[in-house]
Amino acid sequence: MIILRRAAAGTAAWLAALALVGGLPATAHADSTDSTAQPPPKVELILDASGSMRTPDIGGMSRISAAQHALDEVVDALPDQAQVGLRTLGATYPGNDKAAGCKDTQLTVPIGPLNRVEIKTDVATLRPVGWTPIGLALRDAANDLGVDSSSRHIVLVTDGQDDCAPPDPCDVARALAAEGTHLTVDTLGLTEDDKVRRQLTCIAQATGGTYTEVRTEGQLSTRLTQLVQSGTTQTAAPPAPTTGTASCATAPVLTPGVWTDRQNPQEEHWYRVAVPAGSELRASASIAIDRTVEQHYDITMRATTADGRELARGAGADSGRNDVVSTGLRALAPAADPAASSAAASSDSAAPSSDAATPDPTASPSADGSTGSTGSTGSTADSGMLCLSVANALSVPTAGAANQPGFPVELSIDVVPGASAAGGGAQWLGSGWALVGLLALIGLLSGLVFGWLARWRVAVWRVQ
Amino acid sequence: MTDMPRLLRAAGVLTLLALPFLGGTAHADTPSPSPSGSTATTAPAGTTFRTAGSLVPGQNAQATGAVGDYFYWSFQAQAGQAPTVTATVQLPTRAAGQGAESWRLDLYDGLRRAQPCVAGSPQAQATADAASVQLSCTLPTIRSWAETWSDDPLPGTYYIRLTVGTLAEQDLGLPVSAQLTLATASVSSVPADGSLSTPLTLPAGGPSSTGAGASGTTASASPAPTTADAATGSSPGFFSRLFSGGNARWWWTGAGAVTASLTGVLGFTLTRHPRRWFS
Repeated sequence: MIILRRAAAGTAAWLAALALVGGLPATAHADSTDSTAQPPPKVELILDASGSMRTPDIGGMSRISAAQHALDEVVDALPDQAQVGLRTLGATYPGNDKAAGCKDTQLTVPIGPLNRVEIKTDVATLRPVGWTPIGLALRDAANDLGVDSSSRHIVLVTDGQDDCAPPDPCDVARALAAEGTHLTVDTLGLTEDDKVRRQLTCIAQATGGTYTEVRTEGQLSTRLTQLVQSGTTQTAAPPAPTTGTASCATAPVLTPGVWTDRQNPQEEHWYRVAVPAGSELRASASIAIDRTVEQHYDITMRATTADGRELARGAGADSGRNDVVSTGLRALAPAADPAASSAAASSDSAAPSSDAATPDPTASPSADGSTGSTGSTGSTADSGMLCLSVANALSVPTAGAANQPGFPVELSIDVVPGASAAGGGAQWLGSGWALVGLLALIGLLSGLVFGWLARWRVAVWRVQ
Repeated sequence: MTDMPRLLRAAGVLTLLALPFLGGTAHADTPSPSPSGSTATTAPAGTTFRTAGSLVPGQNAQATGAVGDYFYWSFQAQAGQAPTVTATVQLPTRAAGQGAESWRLDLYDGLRRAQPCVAGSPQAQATADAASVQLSCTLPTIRSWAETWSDDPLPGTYYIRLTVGTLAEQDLGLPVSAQLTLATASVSSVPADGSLSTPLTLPAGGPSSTGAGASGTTASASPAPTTADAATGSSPGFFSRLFSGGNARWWWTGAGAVTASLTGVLGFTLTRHPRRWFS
């Protein structure tokens, strides 16, 4: 009995141990969320108060009164700390002089914590009289928003084509998006006119925004509230700017995070990333298609060693209407030769210190300069670095001015410990419950056989 | 009558021994049910990869916007799952005589690489009088590990993009809404041939000046043992690697051996002293 109890207890213990081993958790990593202080997101509304806004075609209401009602509802729905400003265009100059009419845009409510009463009064007293200088209003609104690292939104409510072009408001929007980071223009059209739709769609596409055609007052207030609310709650840290170069040797060094660049059609840009031997580089690149391009386009990304050996390649191709074409890759940094281990260590220390804004100008030029052009030291300094190339095959139908500014590129970089294949060093062993069961069965059977053998031998011995 | 308890106990021990195997197989056969939390709030859509609305299996997602918008969601998927995305687009009333509108559902992995659909209809044409369009896409079964140069689906973030393809110009900007659901079927027989160090998820924010997050893990990625290992061929790293990662074969085999010896002893005592058990 005692033996039995012991056996039972032992079995239970082993079962518990087995369960523990079997339930060995797969690698579960919680991604760390770093909460860095971020300037609050800002939104500026641009309201068209040109003469055509008097047209009474929004469900019997005039366009301007529909917009006024909608703005009242938006202001009521917003939280107190939302950073919202209001700019009007065509609200003050009723004359026929184009030069004067095309300068007619005012910042009615400066961007700051929400002042409901002020916005409502200003909106209510608006009288639509003037011209439609959309391009100028966009440029001034971008100035109002400033160029700090917060996310910036412009919501444009209009019913008309810009009658002050040039400059074409679409080009203005694209240029503004290229000047800072993270500027989006959402447009709302109060008319079904084809030309207006084309222009507003172009502005929205140039900045990665949306275009909405509004036919009722309810639609206008719902959509406006949605846009302003999503604009004031953007909290993701915006990407840091960088500029890729034509070759890897002089390329900027990128640390893990999100970066932006601009790339002309058919261009290739190189970047460098410090990756310790055995670690894995994960990179993704997307090119936003912010203007009309030819039907088919693609993006190619390659990771190479410093001496040009290709480690991995990613390609993304698409055709037709699209907002972004993207690709990504994983590349395992090759094991360095022993002589290069010190270089890997130095690149480790260099990686965190390289500032976000400055693309680490000290990395390769100083290494080349200080060590006096010996080829061996140059190669060891580069051995902790992987080169990353991003190339696009976008074609713009009208060459020349339409190439400028380049297409926005977003690069996401991460460096993680290398993946472990199950190969390891114990491939000849088994795993799983079936194996344990089989072994237990074999044990039981052999125990029985030996037991019977022992009984038979004892019986024989007794007989003798 | 005293024999009965003994017999029962013997049977009990045997059942106890067999339990893990029964339990194990039962576990592997039943697909883990995906939570059908209809009570969960609907996830709104984002407008870019970085602002994608996050979605959990079973949750309903809702998008309201204009025709021409790009609706983004993201979700997390684990190895062995085959997520299925289903979307229903409620189309606006359009003027008669306009051409068909094509809607499409694109899926991307954590590195924003386009993923194929092994089942479903990720693209659909909507005729001018259609009130809604139905789209669906089933991802390939997600593997636990793949070579770095391959495109196999891996655990981590997945992105969904719902948008309109070709359309008549007059349709742009009209109000549209879409419902989207995510279901994950679990496939039991997925080869566990390795594991990633971290799921395939890219940082969402700009490079942090502190560098504590990613650079810290990079520095602790033990580059030194790897290089020493490559140079000498044998080092402490070799033995530690045997038990590291998903490689639990040593434990399995060892436990099997112990179980075998226990059952061996059991079998021996059963035949050697049967009176203790059956009399």
